[in-house]
Amino acid sequence: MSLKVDVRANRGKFELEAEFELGNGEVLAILGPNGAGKSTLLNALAGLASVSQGSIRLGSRVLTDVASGVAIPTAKRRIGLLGQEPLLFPHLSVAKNIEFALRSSNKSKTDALRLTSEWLDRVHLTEFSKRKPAQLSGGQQQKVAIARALATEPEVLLLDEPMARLDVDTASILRELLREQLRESGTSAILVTHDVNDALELAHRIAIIEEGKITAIGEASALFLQSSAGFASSIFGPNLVEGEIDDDGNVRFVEGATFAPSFGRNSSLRPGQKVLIGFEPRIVTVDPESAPSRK
Amino acid sequence: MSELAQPNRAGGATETERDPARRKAAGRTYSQAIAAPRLLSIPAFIGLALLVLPILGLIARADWPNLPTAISSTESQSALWLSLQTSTIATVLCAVVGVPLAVLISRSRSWLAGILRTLTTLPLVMPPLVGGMALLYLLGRNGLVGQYLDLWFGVRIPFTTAAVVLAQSFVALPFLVISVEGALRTAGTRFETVAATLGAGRWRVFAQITLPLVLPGLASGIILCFARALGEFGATALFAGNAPGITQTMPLAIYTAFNGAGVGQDSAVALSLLLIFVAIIILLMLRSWRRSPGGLN
Repeated sequence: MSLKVDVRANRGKFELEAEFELGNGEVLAILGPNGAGKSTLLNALAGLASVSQGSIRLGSRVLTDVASGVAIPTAKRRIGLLGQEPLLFPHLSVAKNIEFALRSSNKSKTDALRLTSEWLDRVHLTEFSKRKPAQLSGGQQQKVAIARALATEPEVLLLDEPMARLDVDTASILRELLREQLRESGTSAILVTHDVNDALELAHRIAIIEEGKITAIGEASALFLQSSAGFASSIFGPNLVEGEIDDDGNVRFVEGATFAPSFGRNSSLRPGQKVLIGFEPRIVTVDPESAPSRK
Repeated sequence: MSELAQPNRAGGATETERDPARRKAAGRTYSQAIAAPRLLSIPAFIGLALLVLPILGLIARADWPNLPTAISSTESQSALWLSLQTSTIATVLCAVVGVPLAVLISRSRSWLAGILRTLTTLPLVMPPLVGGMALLYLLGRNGLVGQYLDLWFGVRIPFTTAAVVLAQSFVALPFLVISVEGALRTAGTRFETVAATLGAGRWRVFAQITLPLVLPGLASGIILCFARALGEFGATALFAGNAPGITQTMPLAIYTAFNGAGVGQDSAVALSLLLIFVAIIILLMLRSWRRSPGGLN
């Protein structure tokens, strides 16, 4: 089910103008500096902020249409939201948090209980089911929040910097979990982020939003190769290496070095394909003591 | 690189947490760090004395040998029983209407919330006697609404037990509303927003998220509300009167005794001590219920 967005929304003097389409099962990352209108956009999609002009359609359903006065309430949109903070209900146990979500999306008590334990298993937190959120680490809480959001089977999941509050290691574990679960459930998602790694690892397409307008939208490689200026290159430039896939499924950098990432030959990458590798500088270590190894 | 040498946080407990001796030391450091300035203890003790010394005066004045007789008289027993009954009903009534009112205020636009909050706290600044008068002119036999209640339904509220409950509710409701509204504002609307994105309807959100989140505030509100209802005198005296067994609650029985119409000052002191004793017992019970794991946080 595809999401068609064409809206203008105002917040004070700030105006957001966004027009894009999200395919079924697609993950679109929205990158942009602070105050560019990312949160305004998500709030408009979730029905948490009013829209001054335009419409939002999800499949055959009209969620928002200013012209005809339609504004479906948040609870009936089937649009999930996962933010920086897990916001687990503090008075409910981990299992009850997920059960609440399932009951809210009209699952029977029996189904809710069964699906709750399934979801706990999927995020590897079965042993924590009876704990209160406060007894979990930040990363574990966010895992529960992911399970809780996806358990309702939203047609679109809005992700508002879901990894921003986690340390680097936890963030990468969560990123992997999120990618896995989004793919498995085939949920479409819009990911707002500062973090290029989030965008590259999770999203099929990336949109750049600046001063309330989408200035570029497309697949990551195309987008970053073409945008030599502006926000895209400013966040990407220094940590971006261009390369080509070789016969072993590894990446051969233009400069001659080879990078053998763990995706090996099983990925959808074809030999000869041009790729870009983006990474955080902090994950690179230089160790002159050890001998060069092939893997 | 330093990021790679991060301690494993998944393990949870740090060295300090594991070692009891160190934990104790850490606890001491902590309490020193938040200790209040010493000079503050002087006004603090004056405040405490202001609250406690009058009660000591009461205890000193008490005619202890005759105390059991005074408090076991039929009149004082019925006054105590009536007080407990009416205060309980008034507190339940306040909770039933007060929680929705608090929700309404906390979810209103700021200008409207300001007006509603002022109206709600009005009984706090009004002398209870004035409240009783106001109730009389509203619900009395010739009152704004009372005349029609009498004319159409034959219902007369003043000088009945119902009037006692209304008078108590009138003066006690603000305490509950303020307390719950404060809790609602502290809790914010973030959890409700999340619940809505999960597809939860308004009633489900209210019953399963909003209400449980403000339970500690509601418990405080109930305690304050009950205490205020139990001590209510002025509005009751004017609106409900002083009929033994029907409207004569403990405060009224004490007033009657003190003024000499009853058994005299000894009896008034005895009844006062009984009221204070019962009030302390009930407040302690409510507090322990609030702190118990099965209770309200």
